[in-house]
Amino acid sequence: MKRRAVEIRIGLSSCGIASGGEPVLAALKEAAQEAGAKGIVKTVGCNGMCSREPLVEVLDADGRITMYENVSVTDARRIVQSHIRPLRPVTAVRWAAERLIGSVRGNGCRDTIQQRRVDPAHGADATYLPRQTRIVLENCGEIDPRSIDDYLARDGYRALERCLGRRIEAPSSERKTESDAVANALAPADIIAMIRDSGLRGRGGAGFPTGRKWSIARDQPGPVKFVICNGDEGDPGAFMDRLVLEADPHRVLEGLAIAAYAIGATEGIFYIRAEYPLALTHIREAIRQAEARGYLGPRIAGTGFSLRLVVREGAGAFVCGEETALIASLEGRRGMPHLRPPYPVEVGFRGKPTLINNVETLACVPWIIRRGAAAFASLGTETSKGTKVFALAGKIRRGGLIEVPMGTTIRDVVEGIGGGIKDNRRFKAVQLGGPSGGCLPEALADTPIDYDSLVETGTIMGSGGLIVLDDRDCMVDIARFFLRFTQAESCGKCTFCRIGTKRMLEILDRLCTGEGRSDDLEKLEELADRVSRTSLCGLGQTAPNPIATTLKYFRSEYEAHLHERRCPAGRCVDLIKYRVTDACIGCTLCAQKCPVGAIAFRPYEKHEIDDALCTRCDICRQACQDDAIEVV
Amino acid sequence: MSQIVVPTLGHRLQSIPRSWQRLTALCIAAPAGLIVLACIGMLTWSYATARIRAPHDEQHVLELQEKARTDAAFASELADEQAMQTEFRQQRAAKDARITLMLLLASTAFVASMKWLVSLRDRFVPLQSQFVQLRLPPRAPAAAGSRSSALRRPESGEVSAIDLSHVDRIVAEIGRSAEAAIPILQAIQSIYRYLPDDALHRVCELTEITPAQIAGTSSFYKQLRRTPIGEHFVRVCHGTACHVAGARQVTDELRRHLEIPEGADTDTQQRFTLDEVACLGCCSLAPVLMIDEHTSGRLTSLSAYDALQTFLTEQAS
Amino acid sequence: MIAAWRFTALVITILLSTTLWTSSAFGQPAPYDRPVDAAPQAKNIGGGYITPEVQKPLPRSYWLEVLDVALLAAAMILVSWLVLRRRNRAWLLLVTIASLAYFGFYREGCVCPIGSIQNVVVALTDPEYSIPIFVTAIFFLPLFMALFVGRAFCGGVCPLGAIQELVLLKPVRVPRRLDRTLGLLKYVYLALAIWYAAQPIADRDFVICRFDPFVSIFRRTGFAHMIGIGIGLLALSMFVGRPYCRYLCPYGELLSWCTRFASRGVTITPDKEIDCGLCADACPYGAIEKNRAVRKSCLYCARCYASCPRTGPMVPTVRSEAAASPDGGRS
Repeated sequence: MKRRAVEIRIGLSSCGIASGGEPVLAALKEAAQEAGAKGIVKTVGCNGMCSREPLVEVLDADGRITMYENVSVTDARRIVQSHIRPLRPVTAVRWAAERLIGSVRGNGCRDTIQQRRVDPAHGADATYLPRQTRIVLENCGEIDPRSIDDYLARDGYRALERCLGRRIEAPSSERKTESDAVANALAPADIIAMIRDSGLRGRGGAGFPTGRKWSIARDQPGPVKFVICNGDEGDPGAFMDRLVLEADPHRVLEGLAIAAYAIGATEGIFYIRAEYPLALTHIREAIRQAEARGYLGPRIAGTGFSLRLVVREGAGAFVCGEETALIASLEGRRGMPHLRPPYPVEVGFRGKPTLINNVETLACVPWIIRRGAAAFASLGTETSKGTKVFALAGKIRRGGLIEVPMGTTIRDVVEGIGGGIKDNRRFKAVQLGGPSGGCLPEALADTPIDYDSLVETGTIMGSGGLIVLDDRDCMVDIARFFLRFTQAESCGKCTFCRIGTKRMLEILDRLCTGEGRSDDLEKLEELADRVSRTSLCGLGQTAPNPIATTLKYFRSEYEAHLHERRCPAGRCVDLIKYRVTDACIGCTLCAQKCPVGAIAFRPYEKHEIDDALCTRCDICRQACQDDAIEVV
Repeated sequence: MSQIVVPTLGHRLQSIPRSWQRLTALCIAAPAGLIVLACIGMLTWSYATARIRAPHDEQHVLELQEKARTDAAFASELADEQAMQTEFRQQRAAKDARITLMLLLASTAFVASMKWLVSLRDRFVPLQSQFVQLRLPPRAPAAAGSRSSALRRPESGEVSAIDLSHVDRIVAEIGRSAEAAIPILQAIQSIYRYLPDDALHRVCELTEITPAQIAGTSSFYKQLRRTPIGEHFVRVCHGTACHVAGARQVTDELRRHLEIPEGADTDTQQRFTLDEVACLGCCSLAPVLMIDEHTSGRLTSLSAYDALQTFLTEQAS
Repeated sequence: MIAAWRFTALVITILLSTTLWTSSAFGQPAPYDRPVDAAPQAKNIGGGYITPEVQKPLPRSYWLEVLDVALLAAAMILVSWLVLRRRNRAWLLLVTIASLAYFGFYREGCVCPIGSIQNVVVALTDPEYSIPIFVTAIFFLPLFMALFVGRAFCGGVCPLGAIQELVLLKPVRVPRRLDRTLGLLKYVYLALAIWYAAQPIADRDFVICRFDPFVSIFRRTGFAHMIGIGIGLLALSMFVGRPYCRYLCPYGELLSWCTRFASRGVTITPDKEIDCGLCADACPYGAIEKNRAVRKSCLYCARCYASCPRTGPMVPTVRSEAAASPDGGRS
């Protein structure tokens, strides 16, 4: 494919749109149109640097890549101006004048956009992208997710073609001249062997070896089987599935097609959260395009393999990430798990064998087929192969989506890639695996990230949410937050999960309001143990994890809440007070902003907060420009 | 009155009790003011008397001049008269100049002491309302609201009548099996923005789906709701990242601003429905808010309502 | 953009001033002698009255004129330094008092830049008229200044502004709409001044000087109605910030045009805003909108800086006294 002289890319996943990417795109397009280079602006998916969006990347004619972060509408225009030479002389003169005047006024375009520049070679940014190994995120931020041609240009659907042993003809492509057969078709058993050899394990959290799952599915009798892509990413704090689906939907589609081919399924379902409207749009568009090009549909590439894909929206239930609950939901019932075995892979959707794989797992598959199992297996640790995508968020300086080989330590991720803690606070803990996972203290930050090492510490890999916590985060509050979540999401089938979580939540509520009873911690431990042992599904079994790990590593905080009625981190609203320090200059900003009038309006005097009225909304602290409000 | 008087003079003289200062200032201001008034009065009086006398005097001089032309005896009288008048005017001018000087001095003293006095008063506290406007925009007319809503929904007339033809169409498109329950409910909700009972009855009539199944699923899945929704649907993300970044405070603040009563999720005017959702998947921008279909991130309890307002005004324009 | 415009404006003012200077160098002064016949003579007075020699006021000596110009320039530079750099209102007040004393009471409000508009207009329309060089300088210096730093002249140099500034006791906020409407009067006044000054010599009238409200106060003499107007305006300006400057002064309008090109000026606040709005509340001239200074109506009084809690004084002890009062210190 011929590359244009200059290409300007803007990341427009939902994170980019939320940071105001759409007006920037419009400004880029307008400026490009003025320059007479209309088609050079391309919308791509997010490349993972979500915290710095809107992100604009310019590929110059000589192949140089310049990246700009936090681009505003005015920046957008200047970026275009500094990279493109307008076709019409009139425009060239006008732009030159605009820039001249800009430089005279002291806000020259060069200076401002230089500040926006991300220098991937030097400084803090040098560690963000280069330290990653990108398999799943290979194309994220590189291709337009709504264009199948972009995907094809980056070896898209080659893996599927390799499996089928046929070139799939695209209606308008120079590939027509090549021969139809690329190589010998891979037998389904070969594919499964490849996946098994690659050591790929389910990325949804539990880490069941994918190859084994596929071979069980393959061995099921009967002509009707289903493949399901599980995109019901309910974990609070995880967004890798969203990003992959939004930025590179064809890759997941290809992975699902290969899985279907390998196990002999003819129908596939994308089960995606309704909260991800853009992901739904992109995957629907991708299915439409793939069908039009013959990558999906009946008798693909003239082989006997047919595949029909449908998209189903999840209706907002965390437990539906669990396989049996997901199937119940697909069948139109309440999403309640049932006893396994029989596993869905034996008796699943509509009673037929059903293979359910996570988005990220499926996204690995095309890469493995293309590059071989050995390449994948060479990454990672003994038991955990390949790479893992993490959603890095929380109190981290450079949050976003990252992909690292298994075995990378937590510290490497947080301090190396993420650039450490925001606002120069102290790194306290990481929360891994969402509500099913746990909190690891900073002391354990050298733990390598792989399935087994994490289980040893009491947490789990989970789907890949990695929330970094600093010294202002209360661990009791975090435990309470997750427990409230699991308690609300519990389907209510198992008694301990239904009532045990409720009782645990009550204890935590008591602790956080300073009404703890002396035996509360022991009771918590006992309940945690009971709930995890007597629950049917992963939700209940892992629900106490946040409590267990925080109790294990941060017991002193629980004790402070219990005995001293004090929240060391200053988070639990019932145990803290806001107070004005002597740094107050009497500017009345806090009094102006206080929604409940707890601060009297007295200019030039040190303000006072009325504790009885204060709701601890934190607004005064944010409003204060002199950091004169402290939490005690 | 709402003027802050910056403490300059009064502030520097803090060691002296304010009542003493006030007394001193008053002791200067009151006589100075009286002097000013007196001076103005005297000047006016002198001007007025001069004005009244002037035509008379001139007339007198003219008469004397006439007489002096014919009768030399009057010449000395004329000269006397003229000298007297000149004398009088010069005296008056000198007196006026003295009064004016006094007036200037007195008024300076008056203004200065008044300023002192003003600076000594308990500072005028500006009304807080002057700084913080009541920020909720006036309720938009219903027609504008339905136009501006980003959620897909038909004209308001259709909804109020619960046009069940939508249900028929949805069922025809999706299917009649029990498996289709959730997609059907989702489609119905995307039309009516909630699940009206009439529509649900209709679904039961048309399909294999039982009322029990509908009750079960619609109460199980958080996306589905059986009660009407406000004009705008505000979803605050309560994912982990948003939680640690203060989503709780953001929610509380929005509830307060939108006047959503305790325990409810929609305000009494049916303008806003506020929902806490598990995760919107924009954790790097935490805390995140979704208004209708528009997401905005990096909020604080301070900026959340402004973000909401910005969105509403942008949408209105 | 602004720099370009300022450049243009500078070129225009320089051209204009050189034209005026050359016209003053080559122009012939208009002959003025009171016809002796019109003066009172012995024949119509009698009594041996002897008409004195025709008297003309002695021209002010040259070095005093230079001193005036130099003082004007120095005062403006001092004011802008005090306001922009030191952000000090106390010293500014001293300068204001000094200006009032010198330009106002000593020099009796003449020649002032406000009135010099008319001289300039006459010089441009009447080839016979020769404008004194120092009048030209006095006209252009504040405008030059405004091109760069804003209305420093108004702040503490102009005697008319100074006298109103000093009597301001407790300003009332003028509703913005009324403020804008009254502001239009300046254009009317300016137009009238130019119109009358541009008339041929017989009908020429210097309206600004004739209706200068404070000049009679400076001279402590004048027409009774002008004194009355002056006193009335002063009384008004105890409660409305600088009514003459804001609503009438034609020269202020010229200055505010020039401030559009100014690159510096009073800003809220240069280092770090807290946006508390106390400055906006302290500004008696309504020159702070949305917590930012409006350069064209800013009169350089530095009240905003004085009221800024970041630079202004904190009151640590007033609380105890205020708390003792039954209303808790609220008025």
